[in-house]
Amino acid sequence: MNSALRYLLTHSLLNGLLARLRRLRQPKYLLGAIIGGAYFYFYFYRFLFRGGAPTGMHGPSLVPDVFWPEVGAAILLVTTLILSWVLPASRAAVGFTEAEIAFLFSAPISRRTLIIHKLLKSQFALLIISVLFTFITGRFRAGSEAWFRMGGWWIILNTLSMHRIGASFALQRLRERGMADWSRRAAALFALAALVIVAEMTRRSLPALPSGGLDIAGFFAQLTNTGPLPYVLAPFKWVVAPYFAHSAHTFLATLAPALGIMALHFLWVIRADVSFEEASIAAAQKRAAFLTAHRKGEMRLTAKSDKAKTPLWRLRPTGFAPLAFLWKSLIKFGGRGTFGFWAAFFAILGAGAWYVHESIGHELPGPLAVTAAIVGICCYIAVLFSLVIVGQNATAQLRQGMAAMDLLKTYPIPGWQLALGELLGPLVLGTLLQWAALGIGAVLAASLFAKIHGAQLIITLSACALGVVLPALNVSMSILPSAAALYFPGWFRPQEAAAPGIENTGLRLIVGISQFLAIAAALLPALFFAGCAWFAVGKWAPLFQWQAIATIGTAAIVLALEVALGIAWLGDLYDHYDGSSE
Amino acid sequence: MIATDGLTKLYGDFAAVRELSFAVRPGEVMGLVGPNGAGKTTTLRCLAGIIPPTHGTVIVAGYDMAVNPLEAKGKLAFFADEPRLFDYLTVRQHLEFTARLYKTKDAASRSAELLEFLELKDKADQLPTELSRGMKQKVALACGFLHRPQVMFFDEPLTGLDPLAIRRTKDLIVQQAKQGVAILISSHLLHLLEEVCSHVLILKRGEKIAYGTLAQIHSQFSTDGKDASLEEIFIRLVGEDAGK
Repeated sequence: MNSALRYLLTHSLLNGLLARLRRLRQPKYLLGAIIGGAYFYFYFYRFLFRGGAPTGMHGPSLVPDVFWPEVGAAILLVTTLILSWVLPASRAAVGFTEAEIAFLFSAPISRRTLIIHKLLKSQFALLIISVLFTFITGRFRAGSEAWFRMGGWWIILNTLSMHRIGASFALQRLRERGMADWSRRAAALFALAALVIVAEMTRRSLPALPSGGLDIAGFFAQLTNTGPLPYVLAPFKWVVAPYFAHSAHTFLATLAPALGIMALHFLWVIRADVSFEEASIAAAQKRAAFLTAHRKGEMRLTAKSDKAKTPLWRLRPTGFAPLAFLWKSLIKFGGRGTFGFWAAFFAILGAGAWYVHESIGHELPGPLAVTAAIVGICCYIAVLFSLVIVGQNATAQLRQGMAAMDLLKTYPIPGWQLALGELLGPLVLGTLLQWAALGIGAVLAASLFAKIHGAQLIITLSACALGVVLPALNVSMSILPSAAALYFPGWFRPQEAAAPGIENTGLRLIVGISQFLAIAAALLPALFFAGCAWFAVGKWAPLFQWQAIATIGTAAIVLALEVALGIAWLGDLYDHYDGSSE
Repeated sequence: MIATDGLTKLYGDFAAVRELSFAVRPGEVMGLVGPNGAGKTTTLRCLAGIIPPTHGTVIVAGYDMAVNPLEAKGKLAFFADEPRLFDYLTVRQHLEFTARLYKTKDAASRSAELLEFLELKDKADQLPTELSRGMKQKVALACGFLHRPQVMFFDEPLTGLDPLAIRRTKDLIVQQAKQGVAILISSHLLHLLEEVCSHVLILKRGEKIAYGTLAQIHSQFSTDGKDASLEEIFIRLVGEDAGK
């Protein structure tokens, strides 16, 4: 291997590790590392290498043992490999960073050396993934086999990775020779169909399935051990065999064939003389654009729209400044068009829910009743999940704003208005969607449980209560992560992607746990005063409805006060934010 | 006007800016120069209220930045080296948004005037993604000019602009100064500063090493009776720090 590339590889790795270690001198990262380490130790490691799996983890497998090991994995491997021939539609690209492209592509280095560099560089990542996969899969079968599993994963992942690159090179060559994507896909599907036909022919040669108790395991064992299938699957079984080794002896015995297949893949890839540079540059630019968006907190699943959006209202030049941020966020959300779409969507759902409600007392057709129940459940589930999502979106918006802090800080606006403005868009939108889902869910639930005495009243009141406290809960969910981003900009540096590592896992755990503790702490006074209101009103006007209204109102007021304090705190952090000191 | 007294910004034990005092009066254009790491951007950020100074006072348009930050910010405009625009707001919507932030009452007429003046009228309903680098710079200028600031800070205003855009930006700066705006420009382009600045402040390792009108700097640091250029003076003064 080229000595310059060796230098680049070793020094990048060492410097990366040193930088991570040096960062531990900062107490917050050290604390994160301790908590992250403890998390990995207690959650994974002790079940893995120490054989300390809790009772029940060695219970009967859901998949028959005879079938699952090796053969099942080999079939999965075949499917994955076939997909690498069917799916890629773009040109052959090898993943290089923009810096690598800038320095290496114009340097006197052969394609083969570049590919070897790429393969060697990927080893560290593959090793980490192997460890992670071992953690995840090993939890269910603890013990000293973990090392074999790790080695097994490393072989499987390497083979898959090299096969993917080799397939893309081969496809590139086919394309260069004039083979269209559709004919390539047809060929791959034809190969898959041939495999299925072979399997079917084998199955027909087998005795019929036993009647009575279905011996699926035995049947599959016969199926995969008869006719040509064992021979077809043999190379794939060799690749996965080290993963299933139970002892050092079997591991070593299965290692040679697996490494042989890996070596063949290596030769296949490095001997392919395919022009991948152009596609690699395009892929690197795409990745850089994705990372930039990620760093700015703009995670997009679809391409960015290049059409101007119509705002929901005309913004007057004077007035409450945070409304300008809300106005801006609503344009970002899609403006009048998107808003209209969602309004129509919920209006249709609402009309359907109302129809169901109006049918109380009549027998609803079976499918309609089932649909209504499913929609109702989905609405409640959506509200539940949105509690986390809305808060996260609001925090993401604030973090995105931090990237333009130089601009924000020059605005003649107090910090609390800036904080409120940044959070307002996602919170208002999220709350509106939550209210719509909650309303529809409640109408459907009240209709479906109409026969139960008092159910309608309880469902309506609980929906109202939740509806009233939802905005405050949403704000509460976003305040602590937002404060953390402002208070520790080094953790949530807007211009950098989230760095991996144990210490970052620990930091995220700290913030996550603190967030839920903060919510609990915010709810306690609200519950206390709401409880007081319930008893006080019950004493003077002992009517359930009045008591409920007083309770909900008190809880809402207390939560609103807490939210105001939270926003004031965020404002103070905004005012004193000094990103340059990080 | 801009006035600062004893401005100091410390990062731990390291002083990015140390005991800096100067003033820029209405109509004056001051060039802030220095080698990389001299503290130019830190100074600009402290003056614009983006980051708090460790010690010292900053007065912008008569308001103390520490005591009345909102009033001070209401009178200033800060132009970063890279125009940072919102991807999803059109040019016109940028102006509407900025108008609300600065509570600009005559925003409609002022926006129309600026769109016309900066030749953005036919781009008013376009998104930043459809604009060139120079056009984006113009949008940032329009937003900054909207509330008629009395003080302007420019951080490397000509970065990435084509010759025509450079010419126009220089003209704009001079024009604003003639209208009584106090302007502070940080730039490495010394010939630009010679063209547009009335005053120069040279920083080295966070400290002021030269300050005065262009004529004063020339007479003070030129040797052998020859009128040295600002570039020659700069290299002589910052010595081994230049080019770092």
